Amino acid sequence: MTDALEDWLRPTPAGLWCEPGGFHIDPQRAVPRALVTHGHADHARPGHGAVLATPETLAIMALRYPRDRPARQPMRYGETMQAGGVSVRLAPAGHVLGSAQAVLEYRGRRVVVSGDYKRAPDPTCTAFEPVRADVFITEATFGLPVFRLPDDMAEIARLLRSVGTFPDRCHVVGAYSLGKCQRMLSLLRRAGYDRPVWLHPALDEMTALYRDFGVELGETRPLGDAGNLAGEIVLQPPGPEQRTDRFAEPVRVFASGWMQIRAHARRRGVELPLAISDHADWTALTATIADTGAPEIRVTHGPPDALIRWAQGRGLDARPLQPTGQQGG
Amino acid sequence: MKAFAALLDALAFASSPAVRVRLMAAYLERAGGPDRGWAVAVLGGRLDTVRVRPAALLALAAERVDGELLRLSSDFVGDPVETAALIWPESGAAPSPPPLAEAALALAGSSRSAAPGLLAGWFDRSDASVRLALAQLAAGRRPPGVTPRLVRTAIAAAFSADLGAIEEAWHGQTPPYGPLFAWLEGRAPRPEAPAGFRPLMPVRALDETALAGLDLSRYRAEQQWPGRRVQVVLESGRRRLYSGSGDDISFLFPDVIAAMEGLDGVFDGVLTAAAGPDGPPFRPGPPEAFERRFGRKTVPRRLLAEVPVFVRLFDILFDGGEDMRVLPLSQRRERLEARIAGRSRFDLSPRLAFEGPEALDALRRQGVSLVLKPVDGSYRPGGPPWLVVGAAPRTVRALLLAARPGGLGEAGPSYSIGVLRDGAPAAIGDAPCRLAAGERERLDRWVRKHTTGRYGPVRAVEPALVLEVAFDDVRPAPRRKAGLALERPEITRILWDLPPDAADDLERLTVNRTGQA
Repeated sequence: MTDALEDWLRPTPAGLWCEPGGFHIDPQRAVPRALVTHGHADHARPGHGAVLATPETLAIMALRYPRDRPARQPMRYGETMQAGGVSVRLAPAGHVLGSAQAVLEYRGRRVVVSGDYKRAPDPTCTAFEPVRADVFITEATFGLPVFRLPDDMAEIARLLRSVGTFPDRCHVVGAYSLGKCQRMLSLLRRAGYDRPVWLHPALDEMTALYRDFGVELGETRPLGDAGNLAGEIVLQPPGPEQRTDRFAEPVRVFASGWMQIRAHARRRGVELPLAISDHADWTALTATIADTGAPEIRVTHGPPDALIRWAQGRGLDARPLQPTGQQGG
Repeated sequence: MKAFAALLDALAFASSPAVRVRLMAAYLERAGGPDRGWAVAVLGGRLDTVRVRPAALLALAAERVDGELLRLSSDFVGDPVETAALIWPESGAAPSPPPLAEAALALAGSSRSAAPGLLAGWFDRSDASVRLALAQLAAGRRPPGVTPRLVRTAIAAAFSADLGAIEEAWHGQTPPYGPLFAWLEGRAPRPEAPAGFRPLMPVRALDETALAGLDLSRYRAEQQWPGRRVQVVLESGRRRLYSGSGDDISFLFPDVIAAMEGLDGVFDGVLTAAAGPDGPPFRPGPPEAFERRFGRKTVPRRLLAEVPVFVRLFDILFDGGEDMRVLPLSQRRERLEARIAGRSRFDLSPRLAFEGPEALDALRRQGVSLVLKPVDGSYRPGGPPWLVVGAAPRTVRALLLAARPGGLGEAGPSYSIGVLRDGAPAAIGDAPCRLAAGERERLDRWVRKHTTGRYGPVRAVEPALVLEVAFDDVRPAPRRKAGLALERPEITRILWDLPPDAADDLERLTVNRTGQA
């Protein structure tokens, strides 16, 4: 091919830059025009002149950055717009509420930028939609074949079994405020857990936002000064700085794909690690590469080597997008 | 197998012995049939199998997945056993793993060359959690912190039975413990155990606050001796030596068994290497040599001569057929002294006279750990335990040299530490870190930032961080550059603000050394 991808779409220190379209994708610093795939802080930064994103993502950014006033351009899944000869469309990524893949077409070539995505069913967001592409730029947070995550309902069953085994203890589940918290609520409901779930204040507003968009999460209650919550499930942001000593013999639970590896769970001081992730695991990454039918693969956001090795073994032109990958959760 | 794999998973992260007991009891309440008995065997370390080496497991995986993908994964995961279990290819068919009983029996009857093939067949039929459990079984790894006694405690909890009664019935029972469970379920009488193990008086560590609140006049003190707690049994002609956990170790110590002649009864004591053949009283020998007497299948005669052992007795449970356990300590002690005067290979743990807390403190400052026993206490394992007062804690300021992530079956990462010798760091042991999770994460961040080299999962770091390390004792370690090593070291504090030359000099440890008299 004569049209090299890098002629019109390339990584820069600010982020992925689409030159003819005049916009960055998920820029790390403030830029005039940004396309934002989803609301997590490592993708959605404040300070841009204009932001193109799904209505859900724009609402999440407005909640997170109340003083930020970019020109907001909402775009629903499937809508198309033109920017400097580049056709832009957003396709669902199944990662968190409002998460999208950026589908870009320029001079007859289609590039799909996955953003963060997952393939596991999740009622709190629109399911991932595979898009045929000439170039697929994929995340690779869990780009190692040891990350084949178990069924999420089986992981929830482990949590509920632990609640049954330790009826006098409080299960304190570490979960990020955007996505994981609401996913956990939704999974608990699907597993038939109908008691109220107790929410740390840092998780309240985002959960309310999900409800505004019509996501059913069952009854939640603010922690407030509810006692030691023996036998109950509490959701709070992860991290060692989160205190658990107010709870009855707390069982520290953490829901993250990293929990698949025991050394990670140990380092976290977790008693019940749940391998539940909003990222694609190895099976999903490789299946998605196949689904896009793309002959060219670029790997970003994660350790690229294994996925590139796998793709090259299938005759694909696979390379890292950046010299070094970043790690997300 | 699935339920047992889930149990092993949960045990790997359990936060306390009470939690481990509850997890095991919950499993035993649900499990039935032979699986239950084999689970008890595996947890209690009674499943005798060939040990499949971690490298052999990785080699099995290498036959099935791309070598480069395996290498990248292994580097990331660290533990080869876990890597092999996680990376194993899956067919997509519903898993149909072997029942635990089938797997345990097959592994027990297998050979080193055949076991990997067995495993591979099972792996193909299992999900990741079961593969991990099977890999641990084959590698001979047990969940951290699970002792045979803890397993029996869980059995007692699951069947609402008396722990002492279980312990007395325990001996002579073999996996899968059919008669024992039949009794526990009320289907049969309690199994008889001639010359069986009797439950030992438990000991509990006492902290400074509790010690200060103790009425010392009600207690007698003895030194806590290095070595292994044992029970010596001679009943109706049968001679047995049991480990503190109730395992029959008679075959390892034919010298002790032979010396039991005429010692009718049941005794409690500590088995230790002797510094020489002369005694009583004997002098304890080097602990490294003593370890050579354990973990073997046969006992060569040469070893008996090279590492002589003796038993230092401190209590009597039965004198002939007479149950002494109901009598107070003072009366048992009199009988014990009369029974074993002038024997070979057995001597008495001397009483330590002390008057008041000051005398006790003086002993502890000399590096002596003490056991306090109530003078009028009977030998009742279900009752108040004997109290152990550790030697005054000793600490050293050491440099962090390397970090190694914890593998499966280990409680957590360990850190290689060293002190200064002629201004350069010399390693003196590996210490776990029991600090709060936040501080541990900060330490791991420091390690990642200051890594100077990687050797598999081990990261060598710049020797620039000073740690406060508590330890029990110093022992000679000729193969280490420093010539000595710490016993039971533990990182108690990170001295973030100190420069590297604030670490202690090797001199300080050598000078500090206490000889065990």
